[in-house]
Amino acid sequence: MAEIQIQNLNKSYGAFHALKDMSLHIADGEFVVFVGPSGCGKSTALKILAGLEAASTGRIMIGGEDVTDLAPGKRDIAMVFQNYALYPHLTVRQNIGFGLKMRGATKKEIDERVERAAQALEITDFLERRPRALSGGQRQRVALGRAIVREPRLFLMDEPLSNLDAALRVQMRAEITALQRRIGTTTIYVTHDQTEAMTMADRIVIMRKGVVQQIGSPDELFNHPANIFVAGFIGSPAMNFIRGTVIDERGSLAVDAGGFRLPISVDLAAAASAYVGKEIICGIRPESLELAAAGQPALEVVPSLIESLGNEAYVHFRMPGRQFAVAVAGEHEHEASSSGTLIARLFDGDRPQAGQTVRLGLKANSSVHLFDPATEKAIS
Amino acid sequence: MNRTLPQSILLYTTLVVVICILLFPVYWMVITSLAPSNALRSFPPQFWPQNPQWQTYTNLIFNTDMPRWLMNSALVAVVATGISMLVSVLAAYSLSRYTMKGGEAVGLFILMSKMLPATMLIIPLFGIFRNLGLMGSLWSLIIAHATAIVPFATWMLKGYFDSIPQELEQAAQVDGCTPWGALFRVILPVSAPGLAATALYGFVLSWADYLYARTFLANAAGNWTANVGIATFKGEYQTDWNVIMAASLLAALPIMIAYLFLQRYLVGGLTAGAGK
Repeated sequence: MAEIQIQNLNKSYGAFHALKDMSLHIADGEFVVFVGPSGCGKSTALKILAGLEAASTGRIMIGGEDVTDLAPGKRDIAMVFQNYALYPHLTVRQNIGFGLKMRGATKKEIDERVERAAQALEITDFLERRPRALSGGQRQRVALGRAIVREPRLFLMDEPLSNLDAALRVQMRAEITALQRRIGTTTIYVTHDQTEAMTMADRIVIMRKGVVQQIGSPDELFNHPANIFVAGFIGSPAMNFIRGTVIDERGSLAVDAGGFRLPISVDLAAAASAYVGKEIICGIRPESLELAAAGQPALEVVPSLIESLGNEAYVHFRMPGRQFAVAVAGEHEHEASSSGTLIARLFDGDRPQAGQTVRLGLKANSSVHLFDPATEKAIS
Repeated sequence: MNRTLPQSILLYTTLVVVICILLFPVYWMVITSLAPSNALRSFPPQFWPQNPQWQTYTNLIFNTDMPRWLMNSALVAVVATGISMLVSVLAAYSLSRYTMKGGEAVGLFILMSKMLPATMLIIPLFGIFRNLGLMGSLWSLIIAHATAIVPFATWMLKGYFDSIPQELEQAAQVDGCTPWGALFRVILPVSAPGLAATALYGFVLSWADYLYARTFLANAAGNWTANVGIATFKGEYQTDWNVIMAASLLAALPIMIAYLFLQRYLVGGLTAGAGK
């Protein structure tokens, strides 16, 4: 176990700057998730931490020791790969014990520790099998076993769940989190899945195009996103963005988006006052919308699609009149996640019919996020 | 896939016919080697000799230099294959894993050298070996064979290494291996089928060579390989076809044994289970 210091880390491949000036302090025992769309530099950062790639500039300290120029095997880290990378010619027992053998552990010690790791992961029945005789989930456990058996100072996990089916992914997600809490090893986990990041992390580092966008707890990122990218990336379905103008209504500020009036909360009023009469981007979480009561300010829309999930429904719609919706880069950088379509997440009782005109209003006490259209930064 | 009965009959009939065509020369070699030399041109041909002449084989083994020639062939093939594999594994691995300036050009150059016909290389090789004093030595043949095996083996192995996920070496390095350790402890064992197929190719190429052996070893009877030796059984006025066939069968035997031994490595799929 150890604390990690990443100082001004940069990585360039020729003219391409894959990682730009990353700095981060990770506390001992912390579970940190690097999240972002493909090509955001998260895996590059992880490989540099593992020593599998050299940093162009910057330093990495593990437990106070500068490991920037050390070979991967000398950093006392363990890594779980996306495709597991189990040694196909070795049995599960040999796979798990390989790292210990390389470090000169005695056979007795290897056997004891492999058994202990196998018990923790419930894979004792497969120890004599080869990886090809295992299912995806079992392979994943072996890969985890190989990592925990050495009791390293740091775990690095590179999208370890992305090859599993949805149900198994949820199960393994919980198991990895529980395992990490139990053994308390500092962990850096890379994923492009914001749900994984939100459910597993103590802190999330959200990245885009090699630049760290925001570092914070899942709640901080969800409730106080630093910019449009973070706001759009965290949360599912993604936040809706609407273009509007800040208006001053007898001292209280609001946003007018084509007739739809969105009140600005008191804590944002001071910052928003500089934008009166100017264009602004509002962010509204899909769950902040509801069917409006009669007399309540509302947006009249005709849903283009209603997805029912049993206890809730996603109502897809477009803003009437002008194009107010703002397209935002989503999980895949080149695609816009909200290509003009907005989503309301309605719960039981609030179930409209397709084709029917729906009046959507803002839930009481729900917050509207405000962003500067030029800088895309949050106004707060 | 389920086949209908007529489809199965057609398939198996075709297979039997093809196998018969392929095995007929071998069968003909066997019966020719066992027939008395004067019965070779008898008509109608006998499909199994009435009195198999097994002594043709014992004569070959005990009264000629055949065992020595086989030993020479084996020595040349094993050493040439060994040297070629050592060079090719390292060359193929670096071509597969490391990007270097001009790496592609090096790869193409290796591939191009494979396209040169053996007859074109034989004259410069002759000159080189004569200047080095290697004429008549088995080393001349070992070096000549290695020059032929290395280019092909390098390309074959590069393709194989390309198919192995890089994460395997990375995992090995995180587990404490050096890059060399990762190659020898993980990549090479995983590549066993590719290595076996490539080594077998090299071995067969060396074993089957006549041109180089005839050129470089002509005046060193003690160092003749099996193929050069067998050719001497063809006399100016009389040829003992039964002896030649028996010797050819003996010469083919090591290849068959090598195939049987390496067969289990030649089936692919050893990397199954490394990843998802």
